[in-house]
Amino acid sequence: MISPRLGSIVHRVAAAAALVALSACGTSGSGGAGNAGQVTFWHYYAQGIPATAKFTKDLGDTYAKAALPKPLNSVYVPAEQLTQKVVASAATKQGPDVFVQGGADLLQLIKAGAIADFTAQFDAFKDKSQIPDANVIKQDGKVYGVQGFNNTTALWYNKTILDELGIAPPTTMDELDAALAKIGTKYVGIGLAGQGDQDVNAFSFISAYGFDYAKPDAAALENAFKLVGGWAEKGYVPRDAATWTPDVAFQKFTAGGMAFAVGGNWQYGNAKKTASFTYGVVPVPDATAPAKVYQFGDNVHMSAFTKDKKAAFDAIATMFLSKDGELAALEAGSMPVRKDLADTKGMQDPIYDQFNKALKNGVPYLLPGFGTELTQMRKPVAEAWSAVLAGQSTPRDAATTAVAAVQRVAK
Amino acid sequence: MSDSRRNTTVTVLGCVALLAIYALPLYWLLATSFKSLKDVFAGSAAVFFTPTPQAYIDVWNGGFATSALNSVIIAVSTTVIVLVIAVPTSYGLARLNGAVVTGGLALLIVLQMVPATSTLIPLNRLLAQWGLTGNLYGVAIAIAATNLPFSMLLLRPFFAGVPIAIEEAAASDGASRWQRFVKIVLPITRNGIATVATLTFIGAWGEFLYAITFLNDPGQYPVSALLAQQMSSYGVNWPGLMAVSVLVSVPTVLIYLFGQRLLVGGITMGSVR
Repeated sequence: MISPRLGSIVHRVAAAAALVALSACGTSGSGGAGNAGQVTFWHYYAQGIPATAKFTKDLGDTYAKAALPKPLNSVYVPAEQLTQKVVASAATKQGPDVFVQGGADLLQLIKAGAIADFTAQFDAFKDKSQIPDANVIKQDGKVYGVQGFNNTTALWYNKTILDELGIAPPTTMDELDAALAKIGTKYVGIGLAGQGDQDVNAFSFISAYGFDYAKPDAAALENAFKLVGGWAEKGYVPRDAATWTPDVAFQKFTAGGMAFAVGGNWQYGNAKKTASFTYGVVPVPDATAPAKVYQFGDNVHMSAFTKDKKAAFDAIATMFLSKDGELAALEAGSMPVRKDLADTKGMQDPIYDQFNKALKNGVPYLLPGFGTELTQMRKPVAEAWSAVLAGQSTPRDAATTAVAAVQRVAK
Repeated sequence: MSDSRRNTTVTVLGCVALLAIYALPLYWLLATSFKSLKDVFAGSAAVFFTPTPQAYIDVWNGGFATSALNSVIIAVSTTVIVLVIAVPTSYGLARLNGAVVTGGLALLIVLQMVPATSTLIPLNRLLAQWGLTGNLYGVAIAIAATNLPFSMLLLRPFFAGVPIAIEEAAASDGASRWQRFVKIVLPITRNGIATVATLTFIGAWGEFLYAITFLNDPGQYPVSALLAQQMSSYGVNWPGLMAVSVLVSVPTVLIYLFGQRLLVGGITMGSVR
């Protein structure tokens, strides 16, 4: 005989199994990867964030307005998992029809055979001449993706604080340094992001001192680290900035009480909504060399396993290359790439004007001449940047260690 | 002040300090879930703020109930699969000796160290062959597969601790092997089984990587994906993130509350065997 106690456990397990069985009808999804009756679009626009939720809705509305034959199935995938999911799906010759990714994983996706060459579709696109070459993602002369909008970073400033202290927006690192000295610890001087294994925030500063991944120079890196390390030491940058992501640094900026922050144009919508002070933007100041910025902008790709290349390209063209699609991006804070939208009313905004200025020193996120090793090269630089911000490493040690690691990867 | 009174004061102060260390992050989590986004970064609103349930309302309207049901299906299925396989296997491993068993145990130790990311492509391929991608049970099978080595290693000492003499006595009374296993061994090892069940359920409840990789419909996503939905390069919805965290932690807290005795007993027993 089964003991009453064990009997009770068995009953509970049986009840749980019954519950699961009852729910069985809802265990298979309707979305599927690459369902032939619809256009499946994988994106990382988080639905818990109002700005991205609205952008996704606007993209969907733009697609619906175009009255294309197949309905759009928009599927959220967290940004960090998207490439992994595409590659895993490619292993089973499946995938979405269209997806976006940040740009860092382009070569990995090509290598995995996960993305389609859509040169023929793009060449036949009626508005092809409106899309600048810089926004067409090519490899060996083949079109593997497009960018429907430009994103980059610059130096945001709190004009209310600067006016109060009689500080002009800086154009050189020396001026920025002097401005931070004047602000002292009355306000938080500058918001920098130290978390993460990529150099998104560090790049402008290290390039302003001449650091180049192609010829990594410890002295250049050390000079940049000396500057920001000095700011951290004097309290102009909080030590916990080492744990901030770029969006956290920017959210702290928009909360007020911070004079400067490095942030993207895509944050403009958030700034408009939350900042209760006057703000402005200037390109990240130059030092011994021009401060370079990464030219971001979501890369839109077609899966190698789409069953309908025409429908997939129509979706890309409608959502990301059409006027309506690019204006939706503009409303979210991103800058359209279409030449005929360069003078559109929204782009007359002085904030965008400054970001466009910053883009004159823009470089693609996947730096020309580099392959998948670039991600591994950025990691030690980002770690060194973080260690300097946290005060865990001297600028010299951090620079030497990072450059040695970069050189090892390069070999 | 007498010695005993001084000791009591020190004990109370120590407890208060410990409580503060543990309670402060929980307070911060709970308080943030009731703040507006503006209050999250306003230093003046660190302690005093006007509470709002808006984050909970938004999270609920954002499909929390569906995600929670998906998580329940995944977690319960995973637990059932793990128990059905791990319990008899561990019993077998406890009762057998020899090079094959030793090799098997070494293999289990190695297998539990395989990083989940390296299993994504082979598991995806396997689940696709079985027609189980885009299926909650497929995710449960994948999680169970990675949980099994640890579960078996945890359970084996419990079965090994059951004296063979008890089984031999039952056998002499005419009990079959199955009867001895079900009526004698399982009741004695219930703490260990409850421990494995609890740890498996909690692990599967919060699982993220497999769910995101093997599911293709946001309507199937578990609660862990809802957490990710609160973060993007545009910003972090801190109140939403904390509200989901609070709601997601409720089942885990309930399990600990109701299963504390079995769980603590199970973990400590396993640790000294």
